[in-house]
Amino acid sequence: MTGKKIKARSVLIVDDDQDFLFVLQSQLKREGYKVYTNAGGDNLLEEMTIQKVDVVLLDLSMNMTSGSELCRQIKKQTALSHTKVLIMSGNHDIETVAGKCGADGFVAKPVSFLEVKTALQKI
Amino acid sequence: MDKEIPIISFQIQNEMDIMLAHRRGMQFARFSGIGLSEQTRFATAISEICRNAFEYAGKGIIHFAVVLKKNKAALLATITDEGPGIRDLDKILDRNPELYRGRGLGLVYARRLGDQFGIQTGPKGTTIQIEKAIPLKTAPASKLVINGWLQHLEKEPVISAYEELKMRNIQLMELAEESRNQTRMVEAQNNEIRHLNEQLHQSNDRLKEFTYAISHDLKTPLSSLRMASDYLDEHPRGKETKIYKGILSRSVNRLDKTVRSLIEILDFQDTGRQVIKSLNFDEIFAEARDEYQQFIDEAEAHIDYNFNSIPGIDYVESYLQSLFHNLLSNALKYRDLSRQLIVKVSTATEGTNVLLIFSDNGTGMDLDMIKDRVFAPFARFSRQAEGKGIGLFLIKSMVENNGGSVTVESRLGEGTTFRFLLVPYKL
Repeated sequence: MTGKKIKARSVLIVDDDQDFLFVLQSQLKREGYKVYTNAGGDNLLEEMTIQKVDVVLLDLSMNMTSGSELCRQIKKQTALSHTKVLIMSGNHDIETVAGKCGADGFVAKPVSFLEVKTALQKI
Repeated sequence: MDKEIPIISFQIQNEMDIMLAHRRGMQFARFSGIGLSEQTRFATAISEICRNAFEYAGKGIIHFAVVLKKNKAALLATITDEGPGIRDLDKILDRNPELYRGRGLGLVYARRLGDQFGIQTGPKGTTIQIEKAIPLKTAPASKLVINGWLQHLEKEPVISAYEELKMRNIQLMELAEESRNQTRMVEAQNNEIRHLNEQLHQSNDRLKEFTYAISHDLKTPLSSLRMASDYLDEHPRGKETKIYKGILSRSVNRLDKTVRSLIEILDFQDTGRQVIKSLNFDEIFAEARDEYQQFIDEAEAHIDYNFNSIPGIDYVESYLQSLFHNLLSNALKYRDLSRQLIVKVSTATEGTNVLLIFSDNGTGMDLDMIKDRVFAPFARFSRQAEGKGIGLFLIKSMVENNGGSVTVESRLGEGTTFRFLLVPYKL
């Protein structure tokens, strides 16, 4: 980093917690990210093919669907091969799970915004 | 201080002396209150070593003594010879009797058969000590008692070598039988341990799943809390302050709710509070209906129940109450608002157990999507109504507590059927 401004990127947040979606979304927007949200993983793959994003922040344990399964499906789509997936979870072995489902990185809950920002910059 | 009371000493110069050493070993052990199998072990170890002394050194001498220590007592046999000593002692003692074929296992066996085994060997001879613990209560405390033993031996009839061999054979056979019984016992215990281990693994897996579910339910609101408070720190007068404060208070409420649910689960699993009674399905189900009467009326629900084929069960009262309570509450909460709610409850026999069937025509669940998370703690599959997500988890754990089980069938838009296999408790 040579003091250059980080290129604004597009991020899709997938989580079934409305409050969490709201805080993360509004803080990312403030930082200049283009932010989309999906509550609970419904129709995620379809949405992602229509609206391409750089990074997906994907919650691992949602009620209606499994985040790691969604991650696997995303990674199978050749059309989405440029999309990076960061999984989020309170699971203590999140690193292993991330490796198993092919995620590009992870953020351990409870997250602070700084941690999310750092993870997004690193990816 | 150790006190050693000598009993008797004699030379080992021929086969008959070896047999006598064996015989005296048996007798002194018996006089000291040692059981038959341990008598045989001690005597066998002695005769193995005496045979070595006789074969490798030509002759030897055996001393029997009682050793009294502070809190224990033992019989001690010391066999000494003036032979050439044992070369490669470590190698010999390392021989595996299951694999080694050939002579020279006497030492290995003798070491196994005694409680304590000591050996000193050199070019001028070998001394081996075999010790067998004896019960303190029956240990001879003085030379006087031992003299009594010896007098007793003087009166014993003379036994021929054949008789002696025969007796030893019988003793060894008894020992072998005892060892077989012990092997069987150990096998049974091993099976039991394997079984317990499996149960432990299962319960460990459940605990892991449970911890994971709790940590998720705690950490998501904690994330919101952390990010919202960071925002409020940086922008105390920002235009979204009000929204963030709302998030703070909601997150705190959710954390509180999770902690309360946790306490509820722990309370429920407190076995001290489980009262087993002869319960009547009609009565317990009526309690649940009474509790929800207002909601049943509002929904104009039709509740069809029939417990005629199995009217009751010996079960934990709070379990059965909770089962009906949770199922009825779910049926009412997740009913299909476009039609009248119909709930059907019935019982049937399944061997010595009771099959309880509870079905509704509510919104149903997409089991292909939900899979095994139906009964996971803190899992919620509908946004139609508020729920803590612990009802089905509790029901499943209590039914499985004593070996029962539960299965679920469900289709979106059609309804849900739970089948419980309830195992009666012993009153």
